Formats: sequence, C-alpha cells, structure tokens
Amino acid sequence: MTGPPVSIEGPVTVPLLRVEDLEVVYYTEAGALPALSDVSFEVGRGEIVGVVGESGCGKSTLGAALLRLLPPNGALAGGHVFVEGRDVAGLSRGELRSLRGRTVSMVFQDPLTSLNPTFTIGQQMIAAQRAHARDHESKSELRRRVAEALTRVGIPDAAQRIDSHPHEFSGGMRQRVMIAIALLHEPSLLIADEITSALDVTLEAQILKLLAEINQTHGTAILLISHNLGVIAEVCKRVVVMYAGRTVEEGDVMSIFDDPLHPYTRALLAAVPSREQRGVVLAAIPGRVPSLLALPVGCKFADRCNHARDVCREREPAFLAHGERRIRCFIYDDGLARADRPVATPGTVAP
Amino acid sequence: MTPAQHGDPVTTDQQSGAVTPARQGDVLLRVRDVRTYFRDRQGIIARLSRRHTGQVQAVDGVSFDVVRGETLGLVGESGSGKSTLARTILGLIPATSGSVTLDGREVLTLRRRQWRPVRRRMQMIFQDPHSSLSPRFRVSFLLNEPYVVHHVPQQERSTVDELLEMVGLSDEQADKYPHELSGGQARRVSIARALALHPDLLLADEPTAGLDVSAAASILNLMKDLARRLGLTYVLITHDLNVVGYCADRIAVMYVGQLVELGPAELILGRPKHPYTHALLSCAPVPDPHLNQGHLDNVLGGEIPSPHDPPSGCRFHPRCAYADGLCEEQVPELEELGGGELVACHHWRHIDFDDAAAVLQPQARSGTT
Repeated sequence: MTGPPVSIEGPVTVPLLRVEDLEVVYYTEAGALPALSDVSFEVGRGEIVGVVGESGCGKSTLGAALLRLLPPNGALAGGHVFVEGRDVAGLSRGELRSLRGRTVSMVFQDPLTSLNPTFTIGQQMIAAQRAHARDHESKSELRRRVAEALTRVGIPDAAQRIDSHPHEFSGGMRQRVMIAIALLHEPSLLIADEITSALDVTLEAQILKLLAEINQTHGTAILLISHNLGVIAEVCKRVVVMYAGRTVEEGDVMSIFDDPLHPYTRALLAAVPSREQRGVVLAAIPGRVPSLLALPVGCKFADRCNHARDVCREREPAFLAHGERRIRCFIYDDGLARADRPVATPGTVAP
Repeated sequence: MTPAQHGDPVTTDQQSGAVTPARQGDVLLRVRDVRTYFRDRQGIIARLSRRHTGQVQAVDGVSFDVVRGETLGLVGESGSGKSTLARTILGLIPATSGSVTLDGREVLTLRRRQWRPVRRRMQMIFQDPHSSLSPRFRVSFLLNEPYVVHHVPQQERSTVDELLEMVGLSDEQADKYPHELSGGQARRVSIARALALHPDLLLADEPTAGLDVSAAASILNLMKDLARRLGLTYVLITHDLNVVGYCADRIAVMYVGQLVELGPAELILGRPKHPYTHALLSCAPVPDPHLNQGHLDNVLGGEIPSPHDPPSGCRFHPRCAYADGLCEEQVPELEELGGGELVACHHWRHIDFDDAAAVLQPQARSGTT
C-alpha cells in the first residue's frame, strides 16, 4: 500500500522517524482488529513529540509497531515506518537487532516487568551492553560504563547500586534504571510509553526533567506517549492526538493547547479538572472510545461529537494539512462543499 | 511520642489547641492525635544486622475535623500515610492511639460488632474497583450485599435499579460481572455500593486514579452532584492536585505520617506556606504549555523517606531548600495562623517562594537532580 506523499516543502531532508499511513491489525478469534489505520507523523532529530489520547486509542500499539515489537498476532498491514530513511518493515533480523537499542530504544510503563528480578541491575546492564558491543571489552570496563550510565540518570552511589537487585530500588529509581539501559548505546530516538503514569507528581516531574536534560545534552529525540495532557504540555514541542487508532490532529504544542481545532482535542482539554473550573460541571465526553470490533463507518468520533453532520457518518475524513497542522475533520476540509461541512462553534468548549 | 498501649486509645483534649474546626459548622468527624504504628515484620537476621526501630510509624499524630457537607482533600505522595489514615478512621486497621469521633461518639474503642452501625454511616470507596468488587458476583448481587450484611429491612432498601440510576448507569449493567465493566463503570458501581446504606461520610481513595481524563471528569461530576443531592461529606484522598483543586473545600497535606499544612483550598493553592505544599503544587503538570516555562527548574529532589526510619526534627528537612539546623533537631508544631490555616514549619514566616534568594541560606539539596 502506498500512501499519498506527505507534503514537506523545500529540499527533502530525511527525518529521523517518518510514519506514513501505518496500519496495524491484530488477528483474534473475534476477527481482525484494525488497531491502527492511516497513522502519519514525523519526528525530527532532537525533537520531543508527544502522543496523546484515551486508553484504547492505539498509543502503545504505535510504540510497539515502530520497533516491530508487536505481539505474535499483530502485524504491520500497510503503510511505512522509516527510521533514518530506511523502512523498518524490510529489515532483516540482524538489522532489526541493531536498530533496536542502537538507533531507537524504548522504555515501558512498568519497570518491574521489564527488569529481571533474579539478576542485579549491573548484570542486566552489562548483558544489554554486550548485545551491541563491537569488540570484546573487559568486564571492569563494562562495569565502569554501566556506573557512568546510572550516574547520568541521577542515581546516587551508582558504583554501589550496580550490585543491587531491582526490588531494592524505589519506583522512581527503577524508571531511571530503565532510562539508563535505553540510553546505553546512545540511540537517536527514545520511545517512552507512559513512563511516569505510575509515579507521584514529584517523581514524575523529576523524570520529565531528566528527559528534558537528556534531550538537551545528547540531542536524543523523544517520542513521549502519555494520556496525561499536563505531561505532554510540560516537555513536548509537538503533539500527535490519536483517536480510535488514527491520528486526528498534529501540530505545535503551544498552538494546539491554545487553540485546539479537532473536536476531540477540544473535548480532551476541556475535561481536565483544575482550580479555575471550581463549581463548573466538567465537560466529560459522552460515550466511549468505539470498540475495534464495531468501528462506525464514517468519522470514528462522530458518535461523541457535537458538530457531527450526515457526511461525518458516511465517509471518513482524511488527515489533511491545515496551516501548520494536520487535522482529520470535515470542518477543516476545504474540498467539501460548504453546505455539507459541519460548523465549528468555538466557545462551546472552552480550550 | 510514646504510643499508648494497643487497644487503649487516648482522647487528647489538650491537643485541641493545635486543631481547627476550620469553619463554624457542625463537625461530623473529629480526628485527634491518631497514630497507627505497624510492627516491624523483618526477619531475625535483618533485626540483628541493621538498626532496628521495631515499628513503622505510618500515621503519627494526625488531628483534623471534617465539617458536615464539606469536601476535605487529603494530599501527599504515596507513602505519606493517606490511605492508612482513612483505613484507621474506618476501623479497618487498629489505631495505636488517638481518638476518632463521628457526631461526637468515639469509634476507635468500639468492639467488632459495635462497628457495624457506625460503618453504615461512614463508607469507603476503595482505590481499585476491580479488586474491591468480587469477580464471581453480578452487579445486582454486589449492590444488594451491603443490605444483607447490615440486615436492612426490605422496605428500607433501595432497589438495584435505583442505585444504578443514582450513579448514572443503565439497568442493563445489573446482570454484568465486574470484568465486563469499563474502569469508569466499575468505579460507579463501587460508589453505588457505598451509597446503598445512605452514609453521611464517604472516604474516597483515589477515585479517579487510572481513569482517562474524560471518565475521570464524569466521576468527579457524579461525586459533586451526589454531594449536593444527598448532602454527603467527603474525605477525598488523592495525589492529583488538579482533582483537589477542582473539588476540595479544604485541603490537608500529609508528609510521612504527619500533617504539614491544612486550610481552605483557596489559601493552600493560592498561597501555600509549607515548602512541601509549595513543592507539590509546582510539580503538578498543568495542561498549559505557557505556564510550564521554567517549571522543571525547581523540581523537588529526593524521595519520600520510609516511615520505618523517619528523619529527625522536621521530616521534610532533608529535601527542603529552606532547612537549617533547627529543622534538623526540632519537630515543628502545627501552628494556627488564623483563617482556619495550620502549618508545621519553623520558617514559614520568612519564606517567600517567589524570591528564593531572600530566604535563609538555602541548603544545597541533597540527593539527586
């Protein structure tokens, strides 16, 4: 499947990560579930990009698909993932192995399930190093590098902590260990999947600060997957909003948070409780994310959208450029006759 | 500091000087100097080889009042003792000492059977609905269970449909099992179960944790609506400052088993006095990229210490930028500031959070980042 070319003006520079019309299907007893479809976005070198949406929108599937880490019943069914210009779908096992960890690495939500409880942190990190080691290095050299990596992510007394087991670390420290492992081979892109969701606000802020520092000092690009709009606003430069396995809005963080255009983005932002909203009834989005088994025909958000028109239930809008952004909504589709176009009524949902 | 004998709670009226009935009103729940210590369960080798304190001071001398009809937000990092305090108030964990009165009646000295009528009036919404609802029973059974347990006569019971309607669920949900419900729906069922007995006080432990923004918003709307319709009083335990900011009338901040600040929500959020409250507030991620400029520059470092071996003096001193020798040695008293505000800090008068240079010499932060 070939998608329409993504419009980039000027000389074509190869972005670090480019996802084009990506489709992922899970084969289950109930049938083939289209977990992702028509997902497109880019991450430039050194950029921090957020992916946000409710649970069930395909955020984690997206993270896994980028590294071909899907479970056995999941498959890339269409579209492309280009990392530094190379299509991930066409890589051999060996190439894939060097891609993972060396060019792109990933940190997951729960460090306890990613770390082996029976080995020390040092043993696990040395194994991770050896996986990509170019030549044989002495064990003491590897240990020194591991200690360095742990110090870099803010673990005190790294030289001693190296021989501790995962359970001897607190939740925040374990997440730092995971980040240290992910950074061992200085990847160009770090995928962080809900890495602060299980942490307290104070530890969350510490981890976000660490990510921002890594980004600044090493120029590591970060794809930050989170359901927390506050987290996204804190560190990301650009944001991709997902709904029902699709990208629905993409653009600069400032402009999207100031002036969300897609009705779903607006609704998400309006639902966050805050001091300023005391006494006001929160604008919860009616209904739920549709089941992948019974996706509606047209726009997947139409059933929960207060701007939906007939056209929204008949056809699915495309992901089109709108100024500096890309939006999947008929309101902004200039190709559609004005009479058919739903009308955005700004002010119904305060940003 | 010496705990009273177990099962021998002390009513400490001499403590009442340090406690506010924040607003004039009818005090529903009065908590005085409650302590919950757990015995150290470490093995013998650990006992011989390490410094051994023998107990974990999970809640250590907490006092506050809850006025009828208000929502008191209880905030703090995990490990600060919020959930233990709630469970102690409900008698689910025995208190080491202290007093809890509901409408003037002491409850901590009650025997097992005497608890029952009290629990009808105080109910808890537990953190994880999927682990607090038995997977083997249908929703209709789960909603009826409180009536069976409390021997409520038939004519006083609400029907399952009424309860479901009260929490905004359709009657189709009655035949479902908990695993068939979404996170938000399961949360609603736990709320309905808690409401079945028409309690006066609801202790809600992280009612929105693990929910998507939209589901969380509808749970908060529901809780507010129920408070208005049924005249409920809430103790809302959460680490999410956006949630307390939205809901709470008053806010109590806990750190390692103790209250460090308590007061009306506008004051706590607008002009926090305790450095810990200030640090918590400035850490909270706000969905506004403009407000986040330089936000991460003064993130609170370190981690919450274990209640197993709490720091000397002010328990916050190792992480506090304003701490000095006094803080290391002396435990700050909870001081009344008027206007219903209480703070436990030696230096609150001299701290100006907007002008960090003007304070006492800020100590270099120990620990990381």
